[in-house]
Amino acid sequence: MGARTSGIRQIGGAPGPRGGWAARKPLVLAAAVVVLALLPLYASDYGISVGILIFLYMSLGQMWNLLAGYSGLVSLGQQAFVGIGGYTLAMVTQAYHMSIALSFFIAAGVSLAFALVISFPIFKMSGVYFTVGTWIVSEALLVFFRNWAFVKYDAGYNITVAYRISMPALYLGALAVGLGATALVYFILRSRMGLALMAIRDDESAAEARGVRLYRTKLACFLISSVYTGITGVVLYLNITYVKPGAAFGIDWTVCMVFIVVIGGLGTIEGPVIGAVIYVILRQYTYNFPGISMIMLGVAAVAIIMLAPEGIMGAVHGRFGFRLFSTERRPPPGTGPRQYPEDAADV
Amino acid sequence: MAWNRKKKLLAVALCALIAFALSACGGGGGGEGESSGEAGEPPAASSDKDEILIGFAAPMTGPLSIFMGPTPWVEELCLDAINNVNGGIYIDEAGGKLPIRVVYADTESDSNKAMEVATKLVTENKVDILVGAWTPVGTNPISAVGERYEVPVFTFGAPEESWLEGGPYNWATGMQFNYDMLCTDVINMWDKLDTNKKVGFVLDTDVDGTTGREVYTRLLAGTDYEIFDPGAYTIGTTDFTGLISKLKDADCDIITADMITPDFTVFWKQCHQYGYVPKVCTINKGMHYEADVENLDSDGGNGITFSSLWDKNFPFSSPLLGLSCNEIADKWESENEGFYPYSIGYDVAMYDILYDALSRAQTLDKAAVRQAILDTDIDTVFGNLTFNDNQCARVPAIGTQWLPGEKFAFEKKVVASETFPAIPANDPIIIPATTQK
Repeated sequence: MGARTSGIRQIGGAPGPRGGWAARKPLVLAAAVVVLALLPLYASDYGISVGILIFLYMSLGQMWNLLAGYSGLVSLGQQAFVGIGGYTLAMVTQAYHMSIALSFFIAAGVSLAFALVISFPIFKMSGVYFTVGTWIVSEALLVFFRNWAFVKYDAGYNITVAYRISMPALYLGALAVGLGATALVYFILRSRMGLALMAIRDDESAAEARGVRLYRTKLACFLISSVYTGITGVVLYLNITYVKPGAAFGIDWTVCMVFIVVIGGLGTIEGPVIGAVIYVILRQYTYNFPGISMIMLGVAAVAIIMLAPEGIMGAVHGRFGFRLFSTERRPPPGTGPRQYPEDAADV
Repeated sequence: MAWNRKKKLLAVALCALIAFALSACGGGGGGEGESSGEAGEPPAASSDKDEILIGFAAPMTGPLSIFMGPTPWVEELCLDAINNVNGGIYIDEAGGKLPIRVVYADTESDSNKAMEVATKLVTENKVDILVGAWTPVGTNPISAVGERYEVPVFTFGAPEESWLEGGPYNWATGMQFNYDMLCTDVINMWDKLDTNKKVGFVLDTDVDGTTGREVYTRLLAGTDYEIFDPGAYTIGTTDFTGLISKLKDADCDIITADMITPDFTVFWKQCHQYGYVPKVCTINKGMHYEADVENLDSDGGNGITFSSLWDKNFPFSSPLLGLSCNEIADKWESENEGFYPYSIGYDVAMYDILYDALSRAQTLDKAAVRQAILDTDIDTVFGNLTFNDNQCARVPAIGTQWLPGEKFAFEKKVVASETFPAIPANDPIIIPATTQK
């Protein structure tokens, strides 16, 4: 992947040539967040509803990108955690009449426990076997839910408490989840763990030889992604208000995550942001053509991939050579590792 | 310098992309080329009040699309009666009669998509009434959208019990069948036949299957019937041999199934292969259409019984069309190929009710439209319909059987109507000679 960059080592905030931008970046980003947070004041109901979808899909895309784009863990089973989030919300609020807030904690806990349990078998696999393994696990979970009396089999739940949530409130929740996912990925990638993840993605053996603890690093990444996807599932179903196993645990969720990341740019933080905007807008547009909307979406995806095989952000980086959220490392003067020709070329 | 500038530009571009996308979505009213009752007509903003906009979130693709067979034939028929014959509906704000236009959105037979497209219909197209149909996958999330945005919603084609799970409703109304009555029809049919009264369940884990299991168990308790439940199957199963073996071993003369068409086709074929063909096969949901019965191997569909949700023998008429049920079915058969689909009845009744409610409301004020729908008291193709305290209008169901016909390979015969005696059951129920264990 051209979008990939090999980090050299963590740095301690050494001033670089981009000092001016670095100083103003927090201010610019804070202003952007304020503009987006105030959107309910100037956008229509439709704009708010689309904004909710964009930020929720952005969160899903960021979490899938964290796995596939930075860790090399291509999972086709992340829909399991969306379903866990949705069903946790339904059971907590509808079956036990407890607060929505509690759903977030329970969804996070259940997602963490489930991810831990399945990590034992699926982390014994790698590459395509890992991918197929995650898919099988999520399909098994779907079948389990359809046959589980505790959740009323396949009957589904209406999440009636969500009817009364105002759209601005839901939008702010989605905004927090979407931007939170972006910030989380950024800070992970700027940490030692992020450096280890990218080293694993680029060359597992070399990373291990340099002292990266493969299993522990991958597991931590998988757990973070799973828990956050579960939390996103709660907000998603606050918006959808009706949960059924087939829809909650459907592969459609992961298909859209892949779409968003591939279109936006695998292995880039901006990629899922751009991908989510394009995916949601495209889907809203194609809804105007009932019966052929999926065909149109597929054709658009193929066209974008043909024009920009590395995703839009990959193409932008290739053409102009810049990124908004860079995860590249530069060694402090005089403290970097010995530069081998192949390393130097990559830096 | 160049680097900094590019970064700032990208930051601005990213924010602008999101803001533009959201504000572009905030234009409201209209869209690009929605399918409508009048194909090809460019959409106009409903805020202009030059038309009454009905948003129909329907399963146009996916497994539930079988219910959409009468579309767009039935829409053209009803909209012609409203817009051309009657000249539209008088609306005070407009100071005259306005035509109705229907905007469709495809739910893709998926509850997540149903919610998304219904939200789009309400917030972007700004429909005056939102319609959702066919099974809880369509009716429940669409009702929720109506409750959230406080828009009148009309839903139909789901079990009343399942639809009410999403209640209590304020803005959503439903024209639904009742599972208790549906199962009572089925038991009334069995009562007329000579069997060993052993009933085998072939019920799925979906909402219809779980509701059916509960209702049958309750209704058959204390009767001569003996229930055998081999356990629920999952929709999409392709190997029923284990389940068939259990039913055969239990010596069930009767099976009652609630399967979608592809599942039943596989199940019924494997029953024949396994040498187990019960005397009575009751299959709801999957065998409502003659073409599906005809497509079963040889005469495998002969004698299949089911609870029909509308029939041309209903002795009622559509006030909007001025046609009896029999005339509507004949019109379909003369203008289309094949036996009439029962879902025509639901579509026509929907237009009967909405036309009546809007004519009484004479306004597009949402609260007034909602109240007018709830005040409905009208004779339709289902007979007289009114909404109860749960905002549900209950439609009849009757016991019917597929038997070889004169005009089509199979024709539907009304064999039990005790739950709605106004509907005549003129034909005797039989056990075909080919249907023996």
